[in-house]
Amino acid sequence: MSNFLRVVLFGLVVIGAYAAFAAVFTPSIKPEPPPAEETVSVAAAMTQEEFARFGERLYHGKGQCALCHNAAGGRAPSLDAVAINAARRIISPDYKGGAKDAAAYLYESMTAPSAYVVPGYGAAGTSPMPGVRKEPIGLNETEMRGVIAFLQSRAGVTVTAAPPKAGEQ
Amino acid sequence: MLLLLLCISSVPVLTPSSAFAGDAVSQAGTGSAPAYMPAPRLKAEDYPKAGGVNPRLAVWFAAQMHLWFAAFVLAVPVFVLIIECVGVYTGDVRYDGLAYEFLRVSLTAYSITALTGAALLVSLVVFYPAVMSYLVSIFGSTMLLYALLFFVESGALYVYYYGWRAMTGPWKKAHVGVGLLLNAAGTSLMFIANAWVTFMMTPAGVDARGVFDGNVWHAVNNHLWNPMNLHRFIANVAYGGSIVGAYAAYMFLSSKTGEERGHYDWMGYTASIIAICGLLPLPFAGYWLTAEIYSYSQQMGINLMGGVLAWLFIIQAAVIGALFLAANYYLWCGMQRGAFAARYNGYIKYIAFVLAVSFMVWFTPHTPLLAPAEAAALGGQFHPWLAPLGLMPAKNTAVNVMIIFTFLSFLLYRRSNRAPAVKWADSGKAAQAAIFCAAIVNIVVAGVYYGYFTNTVYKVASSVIQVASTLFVIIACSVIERLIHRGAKEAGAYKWGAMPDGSQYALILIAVSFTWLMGLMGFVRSAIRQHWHVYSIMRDNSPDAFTPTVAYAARVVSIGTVVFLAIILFIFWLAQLGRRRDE
Amino acid sequence: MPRIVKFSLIIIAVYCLLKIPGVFFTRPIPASVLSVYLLFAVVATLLAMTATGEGATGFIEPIASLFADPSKRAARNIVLVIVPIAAAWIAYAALRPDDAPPPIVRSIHPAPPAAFTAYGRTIELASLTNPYRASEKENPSQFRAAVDEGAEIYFKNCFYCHGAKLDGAGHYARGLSPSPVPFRGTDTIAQLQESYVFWRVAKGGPGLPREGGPWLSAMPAWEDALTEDEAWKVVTFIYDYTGNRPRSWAK
Repeated sequence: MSNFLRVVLFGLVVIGAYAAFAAVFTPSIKPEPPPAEETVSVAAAMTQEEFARFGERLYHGKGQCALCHNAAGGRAPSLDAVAINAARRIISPDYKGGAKDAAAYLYESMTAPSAYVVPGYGAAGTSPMPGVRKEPIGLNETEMRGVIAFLQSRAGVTVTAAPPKAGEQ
Repeated sequence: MLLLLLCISSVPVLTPSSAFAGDAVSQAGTGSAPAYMPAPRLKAEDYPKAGGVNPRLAVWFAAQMHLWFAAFVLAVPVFVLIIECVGVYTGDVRYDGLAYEFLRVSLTAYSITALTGAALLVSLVVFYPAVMSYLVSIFGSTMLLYALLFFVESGALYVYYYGWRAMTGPWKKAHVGVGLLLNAAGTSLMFIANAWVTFMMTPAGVDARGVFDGNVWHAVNNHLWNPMNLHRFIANVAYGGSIVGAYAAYMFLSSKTGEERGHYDWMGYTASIIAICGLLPLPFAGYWLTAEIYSYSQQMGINLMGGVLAWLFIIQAAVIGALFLAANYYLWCGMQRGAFAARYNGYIKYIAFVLAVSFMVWFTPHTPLLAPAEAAALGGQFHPWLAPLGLMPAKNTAVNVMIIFTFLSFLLYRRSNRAPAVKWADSGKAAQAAIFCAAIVNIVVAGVYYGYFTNTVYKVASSVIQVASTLFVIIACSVIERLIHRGAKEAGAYKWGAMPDGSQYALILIAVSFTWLMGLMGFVRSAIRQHWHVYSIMRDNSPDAFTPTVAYAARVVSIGTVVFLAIILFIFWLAQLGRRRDE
Repeated sequence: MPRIVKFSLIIIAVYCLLKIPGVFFTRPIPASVLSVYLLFAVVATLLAMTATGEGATGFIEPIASLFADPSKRAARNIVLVIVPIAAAWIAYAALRPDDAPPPIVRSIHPAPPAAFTAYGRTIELASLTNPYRASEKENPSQFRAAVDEGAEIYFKNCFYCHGAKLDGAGHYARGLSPSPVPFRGTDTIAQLQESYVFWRVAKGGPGLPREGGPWLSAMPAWEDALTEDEAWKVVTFIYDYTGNRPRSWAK
């Protein structure tokens, strides 16, 4: 076999081996399709429970909250009991934000994450979390209220975030 | 020929400015203070239909080809200049000949780079006109600068090449100066193009709706620009070395005489040393780039390293492991050129063992693919011993150990041809051994302790300790090595050409792997933008906005690599024809 | 020793080391990882053994002579029969239709919520304790009674899946994947707090959090069938019967 053919064959084998490795040793997971751009519009009035479920879908989907707020990563504080903790947090002396009740604290944490940074998750005053009103997340007011409803129901406290009326965006 | 080349090469740079400058002005309005428009919100209908052609694939392929050729034509002058300077410094004419031989190759590649650039531009303009016009509205002025620099580069290249034989003696310094200008222009071109790419990932100088603030420096100097510049520059040096090494390997294998074999062996060695010198700092530059991605957006970072794309880093781990093994194998084979090789052959197996174990750690995934029966036997998703190896601290530890042992291979290679002459040589060697052991212990302890027994903040700190230890070993041992070999007698010259043929395939593997890996990592860099043309500013609403699977990306990259390397072979063949004619 | 034999012995040794569970790694290594490890071992050994000129020839010579040397005809024919059969068998084994379900990526111990709603109220896990645990020392007869009642509840409700010996091998266990958790041994309930076990009993598979899913748990939510008191008694029983102690953070 001529050297030229040998080298070409060797090159093809190397490339083929890498391609085969990529095909065989990685799971054939299809990445999720891009989220729908349209904001979720509310056709009919929701019950409190439906509204919390709506928030849960946003929490795992469009809002991408679970990307960081999960037990495995340790990247962001757990939100399991945030609605319980929020009430304690706003009366603690090192809280400098403007929230007066737990729901307002949750709203503030989403729109201005740096207002209060949980110790251990970034320097005070500069949270690594992006505001969820901005792109690439871009939740609207109703959607953010839905997430609050979900967080409240998840922590087991009374849900105060009011579900939208029919036709509201 | 010159004129034709200039015509071809001016296509990619002139077309954007002429075709889109008008758009930019009309968008900017006619008032004296330009008011910029927000980024357009596109719908699926806004993307031109292409009969039977997948737009994303076309752009992807053209961009990838252009990038490979651009890397090649930027890398070769860097390589040539380094070799020329070495030649001037050592007075060894072989270096000068080698540099000249390679510059010839890059001339042909230069015109093909321009052609692929034109193909990329046409595909972008045809398939993504709105995106291009938005980018031009911001970067129009840098595109003019790009065109200007392209002319500077072309001019410098021709003076550098055609003046090689003429500018000797007192003119040699001026010639090196032209080479410097050529590289400065080439590198600046790359920096400008990097600005466009990084702007799409981490936009700056625009507000949330994409309205440009008018200061182009803000847009250029975005978050990822500098890390990307550094990473690509170092990678280019390594890439140039690897391609030249592969060329030398091929010529070595087809050499008829012992003299030719010796020449190409030496050429391959010189090129591979430059490639390895570029390869060693590359993980650190990559680490910086990744850290900056995280600091810009946690989401982007998690999409990069977690989720589906995490598997891409498993593939990367395997390819980098192959690169390290090949480099070491080449050094081991190279020891046979020296007179004292037999003294060190016994150590090869231990180095191979450490490399293999590090490689396994480096590869181990955190959550492996499990068949249900295996999951049952395991009692869960994670293996109690192997899962911790899937985390970053273990990978950092492994890669640092691999680098240290590669350096050890290099040290043994250097020793294969000379014996220390100074009296205190034994204590010097003992000091080197002590430094090696201390650094390895330090790296492993730092990795294990800070990586697993403290919280996240210290994990990053541990990697600094590890990198510092590695660098310390390399610098301190090199200094000691130089001192204990002061006045050492070389046991005859290296027997260039006394290498098994297998060693040359290691050089070819390095070049092929490098090319393939560049393609794959280029994909992931682009993929973390997800469904955005300009991240968080301009959404991609085309039917191709979805992220493809890793296996699909690997297939595209593989086909691209084959096509690219085939063209490179063709260029080498052309250069050979030219050389024969000269002779 | 011929180099090729040495090479084979090294690879076999590495294979055994990785494959035999309990020798070096306590649990079997997944096949996908194992095969790549072996690949690395083969490549590294091959490279180390062929780095010198004589090494390379010493390695290739016997193989080349097997095919070129007329005196080795018998050996050659044997190799030429065995190798294709082995290759065919490997290809067949890899492509043979199989009823094993595809791998699913999931984690086994879900992170519990900080609080959950059961029995009509919000229960915080951190402050939840077993009402019978205190009586273990203070009032042993009351504790024994609770355990006995727990046993009765267990055998009326749980043992169909979790087994009469609490080993996860109940009547229905073979039909479930993943298998029901065994309570014996030191790596299931011994690693968990009682409050966690109570949460899993009360909320079952439907109560698992979305993070880290998709979940595969056939466990019913027992809050609909057992009273809170009964749930605690059964938790007390499974610890007592298997001799496990609940994990606790307090000394």
